[in-house]
Amino acid sequence: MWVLQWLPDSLLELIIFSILGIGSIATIISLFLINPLLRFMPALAGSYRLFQAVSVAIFLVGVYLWGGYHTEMTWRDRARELQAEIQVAEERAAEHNVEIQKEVVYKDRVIREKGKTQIEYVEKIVQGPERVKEITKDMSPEERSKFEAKVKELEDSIKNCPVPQIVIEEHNKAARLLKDVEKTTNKEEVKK
Amino acid sequence: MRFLILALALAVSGCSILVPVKQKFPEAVPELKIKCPELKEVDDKTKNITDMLKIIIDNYGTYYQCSNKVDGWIEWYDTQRDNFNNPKKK
Repeated sequence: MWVLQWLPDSLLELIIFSILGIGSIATIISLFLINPLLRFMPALAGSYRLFQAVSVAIFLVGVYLWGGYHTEMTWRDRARELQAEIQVAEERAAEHNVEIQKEVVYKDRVIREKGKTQIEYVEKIVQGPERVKEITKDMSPEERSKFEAKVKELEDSIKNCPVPQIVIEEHNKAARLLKDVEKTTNKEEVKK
Repeated sequence: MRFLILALALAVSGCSILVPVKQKFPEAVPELKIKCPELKEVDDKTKNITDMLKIIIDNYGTYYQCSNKVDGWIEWYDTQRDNFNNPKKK
């Protein structure tokens, strides 16, 4: 019945019902009304058996196609239903994508901005008392003195305690850990 | 006549019908497909602790940006898998 899928519903219906209609009428005539017909057309007397056989064959083909047509229509309806469901699911997937994209982009921007602000803050602190004043201008006297003590501690540390070389080296080792792992990993061993 | 019989037999043969219904798995969010950058290293000549601190802050930021992407991937996959497996779900 594969040819059915290429035909439009209306044409298919017309063809099948025509075959079924012709088959039914011909079968009724050939089986039940053959005597009156032969009275009017005596020439058919020699071949009425063939007429009966052909009529029944057309009728059976019509019934078969009618069954096939209904099956085909059931599948077409199911396919249409599925297509509609899939379309809704695809639209929903696109909406989810937009939501996730917005969330990721927003958080990324906030993280970047906060990091930048923090670095600027550190830079301000080490730029001298004038910049520190900018930071402490809205603080209470108590908060200001505490903050200034922290800045003093930092300045002392910068003057008197340079960062030990080993601290930098260990920090950098940790920072390039993944690169080192990638370099030293034997892919064949990982597969095992 | 023989050709007609053959054609008729072929036409009524019950071949399987290919139902043209296929669901596409969605494309991932482009921002999630960007690789995480490498962490910054401190210059060997640095003696100032605040210079080191700035690098550390920057690296924390990089970590959180990456973590944000991984969380995004997890959410994306869970949501899209659920949607793909249950297309009827409202």
